[in-house]
Amino acid sequence: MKQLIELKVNEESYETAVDPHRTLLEALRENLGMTGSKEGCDLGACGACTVIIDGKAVLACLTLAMDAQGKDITTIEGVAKERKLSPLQQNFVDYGAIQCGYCTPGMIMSAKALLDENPKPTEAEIKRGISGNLCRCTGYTKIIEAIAVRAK
Amino acid sequence: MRLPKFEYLEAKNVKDITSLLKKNKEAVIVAGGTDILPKMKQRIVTPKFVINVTKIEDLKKIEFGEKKGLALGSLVTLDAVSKSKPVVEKFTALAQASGRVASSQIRNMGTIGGNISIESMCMYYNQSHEWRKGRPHLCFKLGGDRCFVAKGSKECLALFQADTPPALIALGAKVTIVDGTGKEKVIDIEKFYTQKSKKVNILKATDFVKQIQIPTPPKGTGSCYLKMAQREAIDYPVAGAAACVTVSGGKCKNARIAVTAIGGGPLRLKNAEEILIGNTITDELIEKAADAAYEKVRPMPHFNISVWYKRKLIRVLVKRSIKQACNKAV
Repeated sequence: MKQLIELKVNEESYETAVDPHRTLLEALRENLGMTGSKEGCDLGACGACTVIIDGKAVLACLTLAMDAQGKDITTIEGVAKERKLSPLQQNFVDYGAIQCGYCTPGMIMSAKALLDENPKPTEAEIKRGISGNLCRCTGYTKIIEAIAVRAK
Repeated sequence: MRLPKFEYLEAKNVKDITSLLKKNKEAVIVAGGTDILPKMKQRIVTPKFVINVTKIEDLKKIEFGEKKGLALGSLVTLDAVSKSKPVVEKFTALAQASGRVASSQIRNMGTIGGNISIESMCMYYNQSHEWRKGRPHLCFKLGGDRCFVAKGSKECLALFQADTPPALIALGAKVTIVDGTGKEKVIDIEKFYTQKSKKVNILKATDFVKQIQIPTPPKGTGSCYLKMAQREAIDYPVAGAAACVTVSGGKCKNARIAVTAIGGGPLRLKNAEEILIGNTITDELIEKAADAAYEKVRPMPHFNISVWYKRKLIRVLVKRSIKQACNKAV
């Protein structure tokens, strides 16, 4: 049976009815229409669905929507402010860190969580920070460059 | 893949878990969810009830005192374990092991209690329902009569691959389990494992892990966990080895060595420990202990990794982990 839950996404509250077996990713994409977070493997191996909950990068496909109540959720939709790309997103564009773009929302969220915690990561730390995100275009070098610029 | 339908329950405190588990048969506990939810999506587990325990703050504590040792609540995330100051300083092997599990996102979600309770895995079992349906027979784990890992085997031979158990064994950890009547039981982490692939730990349907305790190591102790995997992240170990060595005046006072990903559970290598204990640490002695480890392990071929390779790898990992543990033992 559907239950009414309140999700706090990108500093705004949304009330929505979900079945308890729905994941946060499904609730975000299907109930709230926020299709920025992508569904990749849906088993926790690709990182395409990465969102930030309470400051930590986590996988929305392995979080129950019911469990996300009362937590601060940031998705890719909340990164750009006032229709302007965040500096990190702009760097991804400038450095050609986007090919097909499917991994990009997850990459940005992982990179954002990393930079929020450690504003000056080394290259090794950047690699480790995005190691949970797969890019099947294999454009990792550009992605690492784009994040490294922020660390300078 | 969608999750199967279930009834959602929330435990507010530790007592709640026991009463909910008792009242609702066919229930599973979801904490981090990184292991159980994929299994549910693949219809390996289809519980009627899901008990969410993430709201229990009491189980998220890391407590450390010189005398009392370290106490980790079962809901402490792997990320928190790997970055906790006392763990990094005094229980290095555990910090290294929990820091190498899967990816940063999974470490942010996955808990230490969940990691030690991971089931064995195999490429025939951990697949989607549709994939498994393609085979006319069921394997032992699904209640069938055969094992696809080794033809003709009389038991399940799936591989146990968790990272933190060998480190915890090397550090001499104890586990507090709460049973169906609410009674607590403290056991050595070695006794937590059955060494049988079909059911790797002793937890019954109404049991759960509450806490993990590790005594403060004596002066001159160092520990180390080394993992070799095919990928740097989001991968289980091809093999992993943990060593904890106490050195005093160049002599080895105590040693504990354990390895993972070689069978149906984490294995303590007492024969390798015995070679070290009481003797002066030299390169030759460490070499001998590594040889003993090589003799002891009897792995199965796994994906493209041969038995031969895995045994040699164990020798190298045990050797290096003892060396690094000795270097840290100051």
